[in-house]
Amino acid sequence: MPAGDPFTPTERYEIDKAIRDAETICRFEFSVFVGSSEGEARPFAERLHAVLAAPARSVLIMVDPSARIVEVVTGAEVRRVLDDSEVKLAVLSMQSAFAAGDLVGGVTQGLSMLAEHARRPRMLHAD
Amino acid sequence: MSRFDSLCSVMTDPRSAVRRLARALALTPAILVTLLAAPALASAPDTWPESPSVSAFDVLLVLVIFPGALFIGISLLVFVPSMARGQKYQPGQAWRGESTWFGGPQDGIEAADHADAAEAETADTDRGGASARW
Repeated sequence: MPAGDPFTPTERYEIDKAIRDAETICRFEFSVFVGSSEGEARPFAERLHAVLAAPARSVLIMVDPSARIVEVVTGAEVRRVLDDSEVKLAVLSMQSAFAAGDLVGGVTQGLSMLAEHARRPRMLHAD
Repeated sequence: MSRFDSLCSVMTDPRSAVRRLARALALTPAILVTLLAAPALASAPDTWPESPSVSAFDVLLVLVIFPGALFIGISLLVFVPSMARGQKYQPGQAWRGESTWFGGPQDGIEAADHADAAEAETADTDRGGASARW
């Protein structure tokens, strides 16, 4: 099977729509990287996160289907509302979907879970 | 001894002669009918119409070709949609697709290659997240 676009237009549309919905829900920026990571997965994901337009306000989901790794990187500002244990929950649900072979379903589900958890009312008097 | 008492003793004592006699009388018709019944005759009555002879091809058509066609048709209905959708990710298979970045920067993955590792580290030290394997 030749290397090529791994997603059909419908699947692309689904993921794009899930990203837009997540951004509408919680007003943070989301991006999803699907592909093989170069070198260690975590530093690679952090590097991807760092080159985003506004890293502090962004959430990056990196899925490496060949190494079977999923990484979620949250920026500093996001982390104040979306703590790591909530991210872990979303990652676990993605993990089970991926293990069943549902790449697109896992990504969209993870996006919506992250967005729902990040929607918490903002505290205006913090720090 | 009243009538009720004698009835009770007949009903409760299994060795009572009256009870044994009653059981024998009740079973006799059943045994007689079973012994006397003749086996049923298997030839069809003359008044039934003669059944037309069926050719081997007809038998094959109805018993083999129709079910086979149904089997193939249903299998096609099940498999064709997923075959038309093309290659899907299967757990346990190597990933052959290109890297895709949804919502990433304009220049895509090259941006990450150009990004300095040191710059990435200093950019945001307070980032969080989680990871998992499957």
